[in-house]
Amino acid sequence: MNYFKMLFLLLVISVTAFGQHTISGYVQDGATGEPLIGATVYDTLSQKGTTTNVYGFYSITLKTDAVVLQYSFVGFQSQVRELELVENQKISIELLEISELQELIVNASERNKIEDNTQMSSHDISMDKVNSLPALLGEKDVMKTIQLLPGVQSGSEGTSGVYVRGGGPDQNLILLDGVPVYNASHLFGFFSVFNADAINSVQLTKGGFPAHYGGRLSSVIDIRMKEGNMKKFHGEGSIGLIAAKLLLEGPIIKDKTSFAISARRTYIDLLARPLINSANDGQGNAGYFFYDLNAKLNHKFSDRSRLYASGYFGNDKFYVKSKDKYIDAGTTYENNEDAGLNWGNAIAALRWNYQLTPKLFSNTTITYSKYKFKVGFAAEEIRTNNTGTVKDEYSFAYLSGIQDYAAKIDFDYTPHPDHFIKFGGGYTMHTYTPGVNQYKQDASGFVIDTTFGSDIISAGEFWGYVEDDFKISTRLKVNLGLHFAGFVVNNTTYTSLQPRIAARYMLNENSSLKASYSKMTQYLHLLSNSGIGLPTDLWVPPTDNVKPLDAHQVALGYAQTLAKKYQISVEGYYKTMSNLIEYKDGATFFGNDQSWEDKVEVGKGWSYGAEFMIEKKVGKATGWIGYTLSWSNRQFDNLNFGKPFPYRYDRRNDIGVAFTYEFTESIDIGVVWIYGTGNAFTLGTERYLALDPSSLNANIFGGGAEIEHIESRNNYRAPSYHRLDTGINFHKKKKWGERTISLGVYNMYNRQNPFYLYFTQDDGGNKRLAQASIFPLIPSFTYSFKF
Amino acid sequence: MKQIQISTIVFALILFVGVSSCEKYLDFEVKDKTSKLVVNSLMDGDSLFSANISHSLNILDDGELKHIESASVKILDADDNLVEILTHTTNGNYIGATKPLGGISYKIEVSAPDYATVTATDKLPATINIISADTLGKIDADGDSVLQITIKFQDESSVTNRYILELYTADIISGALFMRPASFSSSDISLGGSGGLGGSDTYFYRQAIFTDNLFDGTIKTLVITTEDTRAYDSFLQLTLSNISNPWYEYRRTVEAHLANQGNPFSQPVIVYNNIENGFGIFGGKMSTRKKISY
Repeated sequence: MNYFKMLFLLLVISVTAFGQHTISGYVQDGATGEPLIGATVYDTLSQKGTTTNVYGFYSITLKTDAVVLQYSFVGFQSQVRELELVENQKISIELLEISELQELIVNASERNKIEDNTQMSSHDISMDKVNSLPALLGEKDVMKTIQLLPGVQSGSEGTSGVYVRGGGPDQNLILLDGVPVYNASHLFGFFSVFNADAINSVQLTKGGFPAHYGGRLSSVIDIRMKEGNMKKFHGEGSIGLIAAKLLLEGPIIKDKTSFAISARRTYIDLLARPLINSANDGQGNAGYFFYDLNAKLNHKFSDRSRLYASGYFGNDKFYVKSKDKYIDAGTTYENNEDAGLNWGNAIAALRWNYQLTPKLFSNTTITYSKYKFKVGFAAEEIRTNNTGTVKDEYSFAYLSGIQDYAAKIDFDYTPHPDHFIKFGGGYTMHTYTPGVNQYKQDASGFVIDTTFGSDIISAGEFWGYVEDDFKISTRLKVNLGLHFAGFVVNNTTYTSLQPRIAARYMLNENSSLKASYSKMTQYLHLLSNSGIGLPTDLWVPPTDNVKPLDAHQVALGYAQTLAKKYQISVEGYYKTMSNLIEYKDGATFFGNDQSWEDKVEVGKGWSYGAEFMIEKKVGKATGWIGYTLSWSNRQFDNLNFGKPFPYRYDRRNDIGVAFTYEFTESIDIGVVWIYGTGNAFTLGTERYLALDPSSLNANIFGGGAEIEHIESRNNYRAPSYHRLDTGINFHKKKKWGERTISLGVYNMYNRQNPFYLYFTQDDGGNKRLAQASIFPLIPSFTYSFKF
Repeated sequence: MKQIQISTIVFALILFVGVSSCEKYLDFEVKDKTSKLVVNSLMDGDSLFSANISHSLNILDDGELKHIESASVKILDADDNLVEILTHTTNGNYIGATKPLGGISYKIEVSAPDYATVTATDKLPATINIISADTLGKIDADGDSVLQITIKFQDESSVTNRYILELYTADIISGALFMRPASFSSSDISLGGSGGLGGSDTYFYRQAIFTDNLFDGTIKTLVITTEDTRAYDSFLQLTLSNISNPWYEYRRTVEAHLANQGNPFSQPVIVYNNIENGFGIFGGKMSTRKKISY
């Protein structure tokens, strides 16, 4: 209640300010019309400032006086507007990208310094950086760039899953244009679903969560797609070793309506098809591919009103088909079999930005998000003889997934340069399909059409929030907020009041101390056998028996800009998590005799650590070095006999280095180096005979059964993981635009990193523990173009 | 043709770079895992003390797991007074001359040449009183004749009790008694879900293992349903065993461990072990039987 009172009081004080006028508008890329998110607007006379929101909108209220506004954004030339503020003004600014390699941009970014922000534990990921760094098979991947940041760990070799501050892969709220993406992986996690060409901006928040975020425990990855070039028609694309992609964007009505559409498809299946056909005489086929399609339409009704429609559709498909035909005893038999796995996301959003007053900006959104996984098998036999034709059919499918419809409204209110208030709320209707089996048979007059397994569950989630980012003194700035959320499932309603507070205290002009506390509640669980984000993982809701996840996180940090070029941050954190779920000992997602609720155990987790990062964002040489020292543990009363055990991705030391260097406008290089303590595996160390089975249940196993003694869960550390990737990009201007040839080497020193462990026998017949590595040194080649 | 050749080369390249997996042997620190004594012993109030003694090997040793036939197997009471020394019969099996008593704690101590001495303690639970077992013939939803059995028993208060419920059909043929385990089902929450071991009528279809978490210290009424065999069987026998915690944990974990060995999709199961300096189980059960005559 005190929170509400305090926020209300602040609001009243802010609103009653008088003798002031508001300047509002948008800050955009002058070449494309794309919004510049987080651009700084700063009055050098009053030393008041603000930043643009995710739509490029800003609003700043200043006293009636002379104003010198500086608009700046990293990598863009700043602009200055001088005016006498006697009434409300609308000023939209278009900044131009710096074309020459020069250090002067340091001045432009002076006001956007890391130590100024109240927000801690957050990173803006530059898409230029994503595109400059080398990538596995040349596929630029924003999720793999995020893995290089401190506090973020990758899962297994080559996969794009992220594990933030000891949390699981389900604890990341991955938003694409504000819509949650449930499974962000293609090809069993080796690539993410995000086509780098279609992305405008990416921000990662891993702690000190502002109140407008909610629904996940560990991180928010806010990805914004390109709005579409408002100025001119533009295209870009690439052809790589495994995939090709194309982006087209441009104005439908210049400076009023634009579109952006991009597509990506792998062609492993097309390349393999001739081989497979020749191998089986055309009697079948098999293959794998994935595709993505991003589309966006953006219409400006007026300076106050804009509408955006966006969509993402992606799918992975693995298929095996076979057919067989033969004649026996006068009957022709024709057999067709079709098996496959497919999974994918479909996402759609309709957003309406409306500027209610110069100080009040609204965004109304309706969204749709669906993730589905299906593994199935279908067979038919057609028998034809002189009496006629008979067809027998069988099919089996296992389905899981989640589907959301949501509506939300968000407001940005800037009553005073010292207050930036956000408030809003929303509702999501979830439909969970946590493992449903379909069996159909139509054979010899015997017809079965049945569905069994876990029940489909519908649930509603609602939330509201208010936060104020306000300056208490020239040194102290606080972001105070409250997030309230609820979840209704079956006959149970869960609610959660989540206080959020973050503060920064300027020690001097270039350094600050930061601290934050946040409580997060997650109304969603992921049941995973593998922990690497396989499509078989089940998304399940809280129920009467399985409670929502809760986390409390405190963080303390120090931020400094050195020599106007280097940003340094050091942070420590402690996080507790409750109501985590894990499969019971021996349980698996296969098997239909039990509901998923009967297969899980509920426990808790805690993680703590320190993160260090030094980053250089400007100049010919840019990049960062991140280091994380961390611990992450779990405890379940009915697992590991109640004793705590390390989380699978408990990683004591984690280092990520990303470096790019522009030799000339035509040539740049990128280098990535990763080091991480080995993942934890559960392995038996000794073996012995079980008690005489006649004393047990003889129906389960026979005599002479052996037990593998496991000392504890995750008792073995695999060898450490490290890898060096390098790449070089050759750019060349052409009459029609620009082409880039990218050459890269993944795992340059051919480190054999462990993907999984197993026992085997060596050449001498001795039993050994072995690791399988899947990615040795891999060269890549990509041809890209822009016009 | 040319297209196929190019495709073949490119695909072979992709296969090489993307799918090839390399095997590498790892140093696995198990050499210090010396062979230990393995004691498997279940105290049963109806039977003489017995134990099976064998040895363990480290996981990288593919040698045969052998029974130990030269061990000294002692049963001691709570004050370390010798109760008896078990005698070897065959295949590492050792047997005594006395039966364990309900409510009494025992210790087993096993030593053998070249092995460290191992010990374990457990208490044989007390006998449970089955107050009544009433039957009712019914027709179930499928039209089959079933027998509903209502069992009442007194649960001991203030301690966690663990039970195994079994049902047998008995035939007397030519004067000889033949007992067969019978399957049964129950909707009682104590037998399934968190109170038991995941559904008595499915996984443990002949034995229900459960705890008194939901009925501690009360007279428990348990309703089970079985096939109605009154037309051709002589009688039914209910066996309700009060089992010790080590035996409960061992049963719970060893069956899951063995049932999931080699399944890459299942979680690994750690088997309960209460043998100090060694492996295995020293547990106890005290059974009460109730004959249900037709």
